[in-house]
Amino acid sequence: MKRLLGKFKCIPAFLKSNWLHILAESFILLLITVVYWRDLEILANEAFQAEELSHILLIPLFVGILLYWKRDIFKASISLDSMQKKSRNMFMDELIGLSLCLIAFLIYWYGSYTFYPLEYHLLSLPIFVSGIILVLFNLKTLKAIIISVALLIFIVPIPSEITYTLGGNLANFNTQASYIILKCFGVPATLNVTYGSPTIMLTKPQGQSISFTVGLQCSGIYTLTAFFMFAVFLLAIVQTSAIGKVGIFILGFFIFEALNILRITAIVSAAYIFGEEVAMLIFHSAAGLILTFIGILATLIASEKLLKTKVIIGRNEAPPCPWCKRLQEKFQNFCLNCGTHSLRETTQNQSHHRQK
Amino acid sequence: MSLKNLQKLLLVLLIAGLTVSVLSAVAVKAEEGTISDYDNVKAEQVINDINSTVSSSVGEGEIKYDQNYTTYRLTVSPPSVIIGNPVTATAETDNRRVTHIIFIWVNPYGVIKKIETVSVSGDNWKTAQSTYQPDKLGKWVVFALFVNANSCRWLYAMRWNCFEVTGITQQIPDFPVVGTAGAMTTMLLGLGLFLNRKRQKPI
Repeated sequence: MKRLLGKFKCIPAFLKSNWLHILAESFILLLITVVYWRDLEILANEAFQAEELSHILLIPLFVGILLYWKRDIFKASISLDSMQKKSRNMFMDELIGLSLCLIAFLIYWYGSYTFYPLEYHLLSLPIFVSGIILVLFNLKTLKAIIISVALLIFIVPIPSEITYTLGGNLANFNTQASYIILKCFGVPATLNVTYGSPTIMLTKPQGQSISFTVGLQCSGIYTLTAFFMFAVFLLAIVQTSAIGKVGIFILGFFIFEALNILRITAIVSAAYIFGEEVAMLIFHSAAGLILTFIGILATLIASEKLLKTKVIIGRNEAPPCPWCKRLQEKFQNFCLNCGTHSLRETTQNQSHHRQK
Repeated sequence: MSLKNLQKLLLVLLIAGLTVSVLSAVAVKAEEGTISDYDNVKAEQVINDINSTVSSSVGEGEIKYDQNYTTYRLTVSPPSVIIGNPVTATAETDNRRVTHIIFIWVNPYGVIKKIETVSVSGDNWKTAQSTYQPDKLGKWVVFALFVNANSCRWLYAMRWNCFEVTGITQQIPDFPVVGTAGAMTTMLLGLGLFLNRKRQKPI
């Protein structure tokens, strides 16, 4: 209880020392709310109604988690900003930030005259946020929270033309692959890709035929959208080289594609063995979630084994920064690379001096 | 890559982005020109009339910009449609001076989704048709501008009509009810299990 009260007592002191940054952060939030309110309102409405956009509802949660995990680096980069303000490039970040804000404005303005204003407006949001962070803070701060900003790209609903084109191609490929596997196992199926969505026609032993149409919803495009968003989130918590990070996307793409082919094959096979009801009720409804769970586990394990990735959550598990020692010698108490480790020491030293 | 190089790279990217953005902004002008000024009415007034009609939610109506000619019709078929299916708007008039009809399709959020200019056909009754596949649920509005685009640019009237777009329960079979949010949550659970498995692993 005392510890809790002690924590509350720290709040006024924290507010007093960081009021400028709190003001800047509140200003960012206020600006986003004012400029994007109408678009965010439409987006929330769409996300609640459409299943394919429901992942948008989780974006604030993911961004919040990442900001919480990166809070030390964030604080360190801000402190670093005040130390380096007198350097030659003091207006460089502001200049880049203003240019980004201008680009965001141009995209917003351009989008208002097209048939996709919502998409263009939301596309300008991450650019605008990046720009305003550069103006109010610095490049180091932006680098620290770049993944959180990048996650904002996923709030842009993909235009239906792109979804239909990609989904159609995926559905065609998956159905054909599934059909080949079914044929290899001797299941009496025929493939129809001449008109509309690809269809697998299954002939049961009794002579009755059942058709399975693989439309956009079954193509796996929504699973891949969710995976790509999750993979961006993973980028913030895995430790590996740049190639390794790209590898996670490629590896995941192939694993989820393979699982989707397996899912279609399993549903058709289940219909052949157990009947249509069992296939549609049990396999069709549950297979997606089960295979997604298996898919992400397989992706993480394969990334660990093949790409030597290491998932790190929280500061306790983080390995010491290799630059810390070298940079500490240069800047005494501060590591320019990570900030966290040295910052704690600096804060401790400062409080120690104050007590003295 | 050092921080300085990164800044230089960002600056180059920004200049390129700005150039592209400015060029695209110039290109917008052409698209804007679809609803252009007429000799009797300014485009701004037409856009204002469209906006006020959409916000007023009046199902059907007409605004006349020239009082000499009286009969204008606009029918929408079918008045209620399932999402993704085509809707046809047919505009008719006995005004012989009308040469073109401009159809404007506005979605439930008040966003113009399609502008199509169609030449009229027929002798006594001039007719024109436009078809669109709505992609959003709710009440859509279609406007028809009756114009003469040959000798003089003259706007005679604007009629509008509504139609309802209804949905069939479009479920993602992979993730029924839960949608992509369910997929994300499942992935988060997978990550949790992966981390837990690693923690329990003896060193």
